Formats: sequence, structure tokens, C-alpha cells
Amino acid sequence: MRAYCGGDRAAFDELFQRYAGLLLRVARRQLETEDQARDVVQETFVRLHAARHDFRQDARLRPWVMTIAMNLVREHWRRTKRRKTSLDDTLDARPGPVAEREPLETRQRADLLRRALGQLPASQREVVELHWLQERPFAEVAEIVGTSEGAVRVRAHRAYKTLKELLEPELGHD
Amino acid sequence: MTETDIQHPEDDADLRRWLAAAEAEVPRDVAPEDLSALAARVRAGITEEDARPLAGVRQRPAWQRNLLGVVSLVLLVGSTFAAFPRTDVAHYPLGRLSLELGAFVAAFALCLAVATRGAHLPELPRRWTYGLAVLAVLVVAAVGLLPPAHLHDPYVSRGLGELFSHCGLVGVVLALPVYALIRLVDRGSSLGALAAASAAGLAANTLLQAHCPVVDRAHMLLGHAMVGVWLLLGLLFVRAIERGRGL
Repeated sequence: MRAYCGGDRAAFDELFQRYAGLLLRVARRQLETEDQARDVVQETFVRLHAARHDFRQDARLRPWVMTIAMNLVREHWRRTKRRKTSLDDTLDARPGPVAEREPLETRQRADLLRRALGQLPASQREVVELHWLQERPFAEVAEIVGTSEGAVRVRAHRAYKTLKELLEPELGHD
Repeated sequence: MTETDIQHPEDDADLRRWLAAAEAEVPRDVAPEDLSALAARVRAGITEEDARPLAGVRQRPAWQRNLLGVVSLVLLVGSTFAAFPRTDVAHYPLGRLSLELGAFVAAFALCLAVATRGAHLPELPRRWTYGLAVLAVLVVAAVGLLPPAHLHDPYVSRGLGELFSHCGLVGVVLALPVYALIRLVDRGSSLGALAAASAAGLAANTLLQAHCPVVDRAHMLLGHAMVGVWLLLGLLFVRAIERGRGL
């Protein structure tokens, strides 16, 4: 990052290689379409570029980049007034009684999880994203979302509890 | 709730299996051609960002942009006061005037800091920014509600038209370029517009306070404090249009 701030163009390529894949995965999971995910990744790097002189040399870059991305994801949802899709609708549409069903296809499972995550408040969803799916420690999650570690742990607890309730019909049957 | 009460997916085998399986569906690797295309888009975005007006200022650290904003306002108010001072300056206690201007500049600095807050920092809770917008109007209203600093002419405004028109109009006209400038040097946070409108209203009020000699309460409330309200209403109006167009 220091080289990038100093105007080294090659340093940008290294930053991009290091974070683009990670950001794209996060964005894909948080947003509805591939285009939206790419837009967020693009804008994250543009904002990183604009904010590069704010970067403290002793800071860690990863939480920095993730904070920009999560702010953009939140902004996206706020702008588009997230369409609330009922998980129940999806589950009700499934064929046949539970006992006779085939094991859930991976794609269907991912879709159900995405919808379940979509039912969580944004503050809980981002904690699940960062803690479980990105495997970041609570301290780093707290740094990214701008709250205390204790508050993040409480959000995680509530989020997992809600997820379990939402996915209960499928747990143990696949 | 204690830490030991907190449940994580690793405590629940079913949920853990579920999340892991669903996670596996999201591709971990990104195709090199996808990354190349994305890199090209990012480079184009950065080129566009660098070409925007005042990019050099916008990309400065937040503290430098805030300092620049506050110093600019102080210089502007100072030169306004020097060139077009209040006609009641002989009757207006200088200490009180300094405190009032200082309160406006301090509130301006606060709003500016929120407007130019770095994109790499977690968003402030929305209620804080809404509260700041209310505070920006209340600071001006509070000064207007103070007992008049003197009772010399022209301490009172003449007629309802004057209550709204002169300072209200001049204030909005002064505030609009300030708003535009702040938006050019902020980094596009979603609440930046609200904080910028609040800051612009305060900047305009600082200039009005340095120049307008009418100390009548009704004028201060309807002519001066309403500048911030008009700006916020204007912003809401623009937002409503944007939403109507699906932007």
C-alpha cells in the first residue's frame, strides 16, 4: 500500500490480485446478481484509490478494504430497498413431503441460505458474512463494522439463532 | 447475555454442515479472464475518478479537507465582515458576536467532518447524521431565540415578506455553491448529501450573521434558521424525484 500511495502502478496490480477474488466472493454472496457484485468490487477499488492517502502505514489493509466493500453493500441495499423475499414461499414451493424428498441440491441449498441471510437485519448479516463465511475473528469484524467486539458477538448469536430457526425444516434432512 | 451463552455454528453440527455446503456453492476461485476484465473496469473507474473536478482535493486525507473547509469559511466570513460589516456593529457586543459565529463554525466543522468522512471508516449510524441535521438548524434557531443584542434600528424587520425573502433567499444562494463544493470533495458516502446540506446551511448562516443587522427574533427564525430547513427540504425533494425515477 505504501508503494501504491507513492504512485507505483505495479503495486496496484498486486493489491488487485490479493483482494479482488475475496471481494468478489463476498459481494456475490451479499448481492443478487453478478453485475451488482462486480460493480461493488469495482467501486471498492475506486474508493480505495481515492482514500489511499488516509491509509495509516501501521494499519492493516484487509479490514480497510472490507469496510469499504461492506459500506458499499449496505448502500446498495439502502438504495434498492431490498426486496423482501419470504423464505417460506421458497420452502412451500418445494415438492413433496419432507420424508420423501431427495437430498437438497447444493445450488438449492445455497439459494435457501442466501434467502435466509437476506431475512436477517443488515447488521447481523454482515457479521455472519465476515465471521463465519470469511472466517474473520470477532475483533476484526468489530473493526470493520465499527462497533465493539461484544456487540458483534451478540449480533452473531442472534443471527445464528435466527438462521437456525429459518433453516430448521431442512437441517438434518439432507 | 454472557459470552458463554453465545452460540456459534460450530456448536451446532447441522447448521455447520448446512452453511459449509451452501458456502461451497459460491465459487472460491475466480476465472483469470474474469479478473482481467474486472481489473480493466477498475482501472477505467480510477481514471474517471482522477479526472473528476477537484480530484486532487478529494483524495487528500480527511483532516486536510476538513481543515481546508473550516479555514476557507473563516477567511470568507472575515473578509465579508471586513468588506460589508453589520451596520449595527457599534451596538452589537463583539464578544457575543464572536461566540455566535464560533458556534456556527464549530457546528459547520462537525457537519463537514461527517460529510467528508473517509470511505474506509465504518458508516456512522443514520440517526447520528439525522440528529446532526436537526442540530444544524437548532444552533441557528437558538441564536435567534436569544434576547436581541440591542434595540437600535434596524433591530426589527419590516413586514412578513422581509422576514422570509432577503436573508432566506441570499442564504440559500450562498449555501448552494458551498453544498456543491463539499459534494465534490467528499467521497460519496450515502449520508454525505445530508451532512453537506447541513454544513452548507451553517456556512450561509455564518455569513448572514456577520452581515445582517436585523436582530429581530422572527427574522432570525424565519429568515436565517429557515435557510437550513429549505436546503433539507430541497434535498428531500430531489431524493423523492430520484426515487420516483428508480435511481
